[in-house]
Amino acid sequence: MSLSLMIALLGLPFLGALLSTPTRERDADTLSIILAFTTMILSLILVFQSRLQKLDFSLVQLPWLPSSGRIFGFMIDPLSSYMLLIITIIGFLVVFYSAEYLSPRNREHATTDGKGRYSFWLFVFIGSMIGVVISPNLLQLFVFWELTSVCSWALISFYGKERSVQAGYKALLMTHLGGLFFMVVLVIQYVHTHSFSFDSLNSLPASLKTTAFILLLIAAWAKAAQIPFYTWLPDAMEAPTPISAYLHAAAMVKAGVYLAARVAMSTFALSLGAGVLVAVMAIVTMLIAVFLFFFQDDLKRFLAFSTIAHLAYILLGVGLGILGSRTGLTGGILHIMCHAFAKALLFLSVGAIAYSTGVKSIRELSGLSLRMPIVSAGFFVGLLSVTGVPPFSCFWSKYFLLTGAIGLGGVAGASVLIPFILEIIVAFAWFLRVGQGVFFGELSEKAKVAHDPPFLMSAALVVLMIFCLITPFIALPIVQIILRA
Amino acid sequence: MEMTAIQVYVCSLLTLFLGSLVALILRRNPRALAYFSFFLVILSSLGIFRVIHWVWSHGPIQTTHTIFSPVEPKTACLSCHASPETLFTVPGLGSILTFRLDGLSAVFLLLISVVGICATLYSIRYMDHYRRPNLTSFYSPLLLFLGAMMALVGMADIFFFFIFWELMTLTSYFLVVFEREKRENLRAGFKYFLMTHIATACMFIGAIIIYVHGRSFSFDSLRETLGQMMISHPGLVHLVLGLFFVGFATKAGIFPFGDWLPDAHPAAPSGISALLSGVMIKLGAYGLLRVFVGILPSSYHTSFWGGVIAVFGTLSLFVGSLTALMQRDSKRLLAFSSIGQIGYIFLALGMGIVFIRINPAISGLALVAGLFHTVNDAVFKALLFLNAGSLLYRAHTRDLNDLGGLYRWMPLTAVAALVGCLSVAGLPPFNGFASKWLILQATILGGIDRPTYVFFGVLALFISAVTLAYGLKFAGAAFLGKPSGSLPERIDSDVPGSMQAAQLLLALLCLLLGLYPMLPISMVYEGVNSLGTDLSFPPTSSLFGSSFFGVAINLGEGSGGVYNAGVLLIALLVCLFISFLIYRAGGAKVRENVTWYCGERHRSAEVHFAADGLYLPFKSFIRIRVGRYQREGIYPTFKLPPISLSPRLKRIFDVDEYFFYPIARFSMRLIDRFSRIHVGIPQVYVLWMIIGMVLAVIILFSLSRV
Repeated sequence: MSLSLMIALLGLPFLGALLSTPTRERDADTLSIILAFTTMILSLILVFQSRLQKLDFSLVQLPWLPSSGRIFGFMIDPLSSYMLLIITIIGFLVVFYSAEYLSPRNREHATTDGKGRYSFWLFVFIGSMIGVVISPNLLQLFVFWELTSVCSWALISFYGKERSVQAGYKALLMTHLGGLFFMVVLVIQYVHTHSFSFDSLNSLPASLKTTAFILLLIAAWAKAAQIPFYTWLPDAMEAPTPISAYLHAAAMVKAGVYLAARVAMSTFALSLGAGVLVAVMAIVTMLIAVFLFFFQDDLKRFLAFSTIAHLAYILLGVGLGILGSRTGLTGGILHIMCHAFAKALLFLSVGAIAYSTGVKSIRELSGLSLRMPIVSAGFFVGLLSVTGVPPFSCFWSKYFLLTGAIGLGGVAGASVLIPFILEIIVAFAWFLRVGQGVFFGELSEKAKVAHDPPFLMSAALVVLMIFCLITPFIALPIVQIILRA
Repeated sequence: MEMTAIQVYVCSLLTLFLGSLVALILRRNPRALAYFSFFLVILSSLGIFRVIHWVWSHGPIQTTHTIFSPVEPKTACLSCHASPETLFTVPGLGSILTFRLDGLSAVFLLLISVVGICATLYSIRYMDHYRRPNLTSFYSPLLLFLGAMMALVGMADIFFFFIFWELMTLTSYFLVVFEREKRENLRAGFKYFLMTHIATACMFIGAIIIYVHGRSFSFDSLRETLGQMMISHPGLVHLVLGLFFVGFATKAGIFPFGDWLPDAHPAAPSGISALLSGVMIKLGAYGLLRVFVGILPSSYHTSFWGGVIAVFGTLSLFVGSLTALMQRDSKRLLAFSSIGQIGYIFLALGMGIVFIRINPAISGLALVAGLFHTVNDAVFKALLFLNAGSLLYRAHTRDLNDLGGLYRWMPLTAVAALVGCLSVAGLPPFNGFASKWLILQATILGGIDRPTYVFFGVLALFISAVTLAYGLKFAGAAFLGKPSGSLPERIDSDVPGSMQAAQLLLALLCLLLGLYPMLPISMVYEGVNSLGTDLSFPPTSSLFGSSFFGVAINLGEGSGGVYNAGVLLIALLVCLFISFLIYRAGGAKVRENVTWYCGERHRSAEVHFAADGLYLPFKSFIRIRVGRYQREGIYPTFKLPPISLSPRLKRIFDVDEYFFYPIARFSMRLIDRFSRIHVGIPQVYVLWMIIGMVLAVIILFSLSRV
């Protein structure tokens, strides 16, 4: 039963991609929403059925690649279920939102055709993300990993302008280069252990293990837009906003941190140096991202840099976990879900602003709360969530990260803690300044045409606002189970 | 259904929280929303009064039960173990949602409810001033704000204390920036939120540091851990205490941390200013008491930090009050007055903390003085802000220079304002006198052991005169004298009845608390006693005497001072009567004449004796001169330069330019060179194929050989 559920879960989005492409626009919208909803329900059923245990179905053996386990199959375990929830719920909300966003009524990018292409790639992406998290070993994960890069390329260059195409190409190149490092690790792994499973890295000799881990880390960094591979993410904001919300905040970049978390948790006795490397690079990324806040005028680029900083938080949690702090790891993994919902909310609010006013520039907008109360509420809830103000979601993950950092003690703890706090405060100040500047104050010229978007978009915002409040209650128990395993 | 005290408490909180959600829906009719909110505040306050009554009659309550548990909450002492059932626990967190309501919580709950009722009653009509069709963005945060404050004082666990603390800051931010169109309000709100958020972060870090050395976040566990940390990491304890001090001082508005106060209070609507200044700031004092007396075991650290608190308190009362003297904006004046009065409170509390180990009687006296002044300051500061709001409502200006002689049209507000000013100045028989007298007594009696405190006391005495001066500036410039002629609006009548009722209620409280000081003193002393188990203060009747109308301090070495309000009131009235008789008997004629301006004619606005004209010699005396730098007043203001980093800095981090694009260009050039192989002549291609085949054969041969 679970196996057929998993097959259906993986197959349905691909089927949906094929089905929704040729249909007419209005029907295509309804069909997409129904299929995305069904995917979400299937994944929820699967998560409940598995009761957060590990279920492994390895099916297929490749005759020319003899290995100690079967290669292709499905696996669901607590971390996978956790990621599945994020992917399918936000996926559904994004499909829901896009039905209205990609229409002629969009003042920024009035779209009259291309919906078929969009739905195709979006569904392929959902399918490949699901594939990434239910893969039982690194090889299958790699296949779907590369597939997500391709989808990202297609979706970033959706509008077909010169800049979009260049941005898509740049994103593809950089994430694919990271993927090449991933491939090297696959080769090393196979040559030494004849198996691709996650914990086979344990049987490598110590120095090789560290090297393999660092190479995988480079792949994760490229995917998750960390230093020094971060430049593709701000340019990827050429994509339609729902795509920015989904791929570049909630899902694709989370594949990178998922890889890092999975490998860190499956591999025992990683050297302290590896942990320090992860933590230090995370801190450096955070600081640089916050520094670059100062130069942004475009709302989406601002949020992109914030995403980079938050992915660094997650990697900091993973680093702290390697260094022995369980609380830090809890914080990092919890942050995956909390940040996904909060950042998706922020991006979708910015999309609503662009939809009704056609403008995304911070300088040109002000006084929007007078005309668009729901979007303002959404942006502020997202702002408060992301900057870690209780009782919203990211406060809890930041608390765990802080406790983990302080628990390290001594010089190491202080040198992690002080930049971290600095980053939190500067990010808070910037977000508040941007939020106040855009939403409060007198109504500016460009803001006079603002209005609350129609039901499809507003409903998605409201649902995400609710999630920003209740996420810790859903996520913390799951994270506790993940760490117990 | 018979409900236990905790259930009543939680229901009152839930009324406010749920009411705030319901208020989001009631957008159409602002007046209905106002009455609905007021009704909810009254309802929850009734519940709170019941809880307070329970706490005073039965002692402290602590429980971790849910509100639907049939088991009675334990009403025993603090060291009793609570049942393992929990209301709410987040797995992995070292804390559970526990309520503890003791005497100190009761005092603050009373403050929050009373001032909350007055402020909400006042706001019903006051918000018409803003002419908005939709007041949801005011009432929804307001209810949440009151609920968060009430929840805050009942927490026994510092983690949830901080959650409600931040909730309080968050909702008050939205209340401060209610009038969103004005940029100075936005700047004030931003500064407020940023400074208090940083302060909360500091405190939170402090709490986490203690937590990682111990087991959990509950106050009892923190106490134990701090005790151990004092032996193993004394420097770390100082760091933690410093962080807590900065956090609470920022919220309380102590100079220099309270720089957000003078901007935030004029920006907020007046009902909110009253709540912010009257109640929210005092929660900084509450936190201070909980941490420095309740959590910190008495030791060297107590004396040190008590001294720090007292020093900052004195600094604050000095700078705050002197700066209030020179303000022309009525609300800014009151904001600086808040900074001054909280300085008094911190001075007394600091002294109390220092003397815990030395002389419990003086410590009890000082702590009671500080807490009593907290209660009084809440009442008269709220009153003064409501008066300033009434002025704004009727005259549409905050500038004291434009106001004057308004007692003719706003008599009741004038009386309330005068009562407020006399209270803040500390004149008998009002409440300010009783608490200030206690503070001064404490400093002087304590000075026997530590002479520095006598100096602080003398400074405080001097500043009392300054307080009277700015109080008279506020009330006199606004209400007394002649009309200025430059009022923006003609005033026909006093403010509406509900606003008057709120003001008069607070004024009456000022008078009552002053006439019967033993009532609040015994309340407050109960609060002080409930702070910790190893404090041994003398019982109320021996320290403060058992007279009802007055206070008789007795530190065990004979009388330390007596104040009998009733007698003083009668004496004052008798003197007034006698002076009135003398005036009558003298029979002097009163003649009104036009002022002589040396033959010139002036508009009354030009020659009006404006508020700026008061205390001119004093103004020129209060300045700072360092070398060639000279500025008026002693309150430092820094104009922060706008942060604009040069775009050149951005290029350093442009990894694209340095790293990726050069590699891309290099690869392209390399590939270009390879592409020259494709010359387009088939014969060359065949040549390449033959070379390739030969190479492949050679490699295969060598491989098969091996």
